[in-house]
Amino acid sequence: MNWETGNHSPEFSGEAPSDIERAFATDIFEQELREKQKDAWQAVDATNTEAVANYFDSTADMTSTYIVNAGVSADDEKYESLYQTARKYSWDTMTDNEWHGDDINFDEPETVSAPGDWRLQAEQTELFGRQILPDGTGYVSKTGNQSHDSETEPTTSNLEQLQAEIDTAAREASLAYAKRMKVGFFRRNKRAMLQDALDEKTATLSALTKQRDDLLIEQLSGEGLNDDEIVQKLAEITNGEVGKQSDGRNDAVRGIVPSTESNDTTRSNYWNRFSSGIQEEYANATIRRKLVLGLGAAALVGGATVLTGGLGAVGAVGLVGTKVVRTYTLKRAEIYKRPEEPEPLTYRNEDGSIKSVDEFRNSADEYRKNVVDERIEKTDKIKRRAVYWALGSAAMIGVGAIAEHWEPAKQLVSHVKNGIKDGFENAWDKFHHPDGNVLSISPQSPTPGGEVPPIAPPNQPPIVIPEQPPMTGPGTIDANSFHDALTFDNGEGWNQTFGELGIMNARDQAALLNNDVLMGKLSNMGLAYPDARVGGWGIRMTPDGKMPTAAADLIRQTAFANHLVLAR
Amino acid sequence: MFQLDDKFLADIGLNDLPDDQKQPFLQHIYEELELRVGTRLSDGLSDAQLEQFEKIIDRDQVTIDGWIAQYAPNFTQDEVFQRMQQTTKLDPADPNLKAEFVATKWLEVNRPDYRQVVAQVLDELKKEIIANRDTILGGDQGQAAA
Repeated sequence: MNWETGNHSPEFSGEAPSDIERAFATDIFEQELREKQKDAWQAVDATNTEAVANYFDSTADMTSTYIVNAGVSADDEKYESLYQTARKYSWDTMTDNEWHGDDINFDEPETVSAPGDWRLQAEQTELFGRQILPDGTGYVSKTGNQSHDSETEPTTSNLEQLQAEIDTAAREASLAYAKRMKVGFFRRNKRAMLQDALDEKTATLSALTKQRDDLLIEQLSGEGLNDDEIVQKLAEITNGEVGKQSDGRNDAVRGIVPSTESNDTTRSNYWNRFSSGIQEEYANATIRRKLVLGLGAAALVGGATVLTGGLGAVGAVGLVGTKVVRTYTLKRAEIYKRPEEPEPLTYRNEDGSIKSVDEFRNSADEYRKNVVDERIEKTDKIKRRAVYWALGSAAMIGVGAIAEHWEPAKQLVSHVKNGIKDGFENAWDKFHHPDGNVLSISPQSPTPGGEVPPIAPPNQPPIVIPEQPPMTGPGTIDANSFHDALTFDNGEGWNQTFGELGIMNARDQAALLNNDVLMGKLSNMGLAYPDARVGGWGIRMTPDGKMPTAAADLIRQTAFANHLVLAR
Repeated sequence: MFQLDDKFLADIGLNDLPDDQKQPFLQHIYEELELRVGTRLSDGLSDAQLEQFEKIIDRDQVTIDGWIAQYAPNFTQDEVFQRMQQTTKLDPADPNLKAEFVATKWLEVNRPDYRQVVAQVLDELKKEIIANRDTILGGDQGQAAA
């Protein structure tokens, strides 16, 4: 089912939405209005009727102010419809579950409502005559049913226009992919609905790509390339594009709204776009991903690095002391781990011959789909195991085997990593996975009549792993010794800053840049911001050009806690 | 009550494990138990039950509040809740604390036999470790020698 409505004229593609349109873009609406309404509720005494009434008054005022600040005054004829729509989707009138579509009526489990954010996007057509991208940076363009005159001579501008539509379709597919990735494994109705939405977006992207390839083949053929050369060109483009789209999907999963930068259609030479633009971007992305993957198995085993990153991405805070919820959150956080790069699509047959154009196009389409499907499948397994793990965690608490001392338990994670470095992994794996199948769980033999150990009732003292000595950190930096690090230069990036703070290794620097908790804290300090151009974080220059020592300490302590090398 | 300590390691024949590997090994045992117990428990649960549990641990307030209203309306008086609150030092109204409490109570309601499941899985795991004892110690020694 397609929850989106309305048709959108392609002439809107290059325009920037107005302030009021941006205010109703779903991501902005959520962040700038719903979240503030939600925050306001935290200060309300829910048992105090008057306080609750005042809260509702304040959210109504908040909504009105939100619209006025976006440029529509209260006496504007459009105000009332905008206000009523905003109230309908406000936090105090629509729960987070309704907004995100997580609500399932257990009495009527087959009845599924469209998520609020989708419905708001659909209503944008009535309000503004067109739909706005969730991040407010542009409009949703008509992609799926736009016809292209096959009689038209393929031109660079045709290709560029089609490429722009592919980029838009890829962004929409990334957002649909992120929603599908994050939905709970056992929320089957919701999962199926989001899978349908993803399939629809993927099909649109696939159709546009085929159209683009048709034009491209025609053009290349006209330029005198033979079939083999055309296939090689298509393979080059496909592999670059798959890598780029994979990065976009990963960013979307981590909450980074896909960039609109790739919509740049001002380049005059279409081939430059591929040979220098996309390929260079892909190459850089590959390096970044390799650096992340280079953190190694220790991160995946349960180390702080990947878990911290995942927590940052999901915004999970305040979990200290809650074992079951924490277990689930940490295990589920593996879905935020960047997947391994897919094997490039080859244009050769098994016998070494080059595929025909048609053979290659069919295999490319299947390849693109498989890359997405395989990742979805792996993620579903992670989410299912996270629930199982939480079930077991609850059971272990119930029998008294609770790990209550969370600080020692957290340090044990580090200890495990060190143990792995010391060769422990081998010992464990020889027991644990004698067949080398790391993810398998050995089938269990029944043990009727076996000795059953005594089980502690919940009120007996828990048994936990012995405490570890506290970790020591690098301490507070001396401002005189780190003068360079505490002074931002024009054009300085985080890698340079990290280096000046003694984190010299490129891999360590990449680990810090991919630590969403750290970068989120630096962002809260006003020092970092998501930079879509580099696909990561940029430095926000302070008025006096200085970095606070607290930020420098935070960076060094984070590096220390993650076992990165501090050269100073 | 079982203890994941030196005695446990001795029971399964791993008291010769190097000291610096004992704690991480025990931690792995704990996590492995969690996963195996959870997997075994899930076998007896319907999809609807698992969906409800997933929502609880995902801190879905509507589901949590609905469950509390039905099964534990006086939850703040519950001994388990009070102990959790004392242990975690969280505010009694903290949604994470409520989710934690509901998750454990949910298990009692939906899998009242869970203690037997834990005992059985632990027993199986111990036997599995014992059967692989030489491999574990041998593998470790080989690594140390290398």
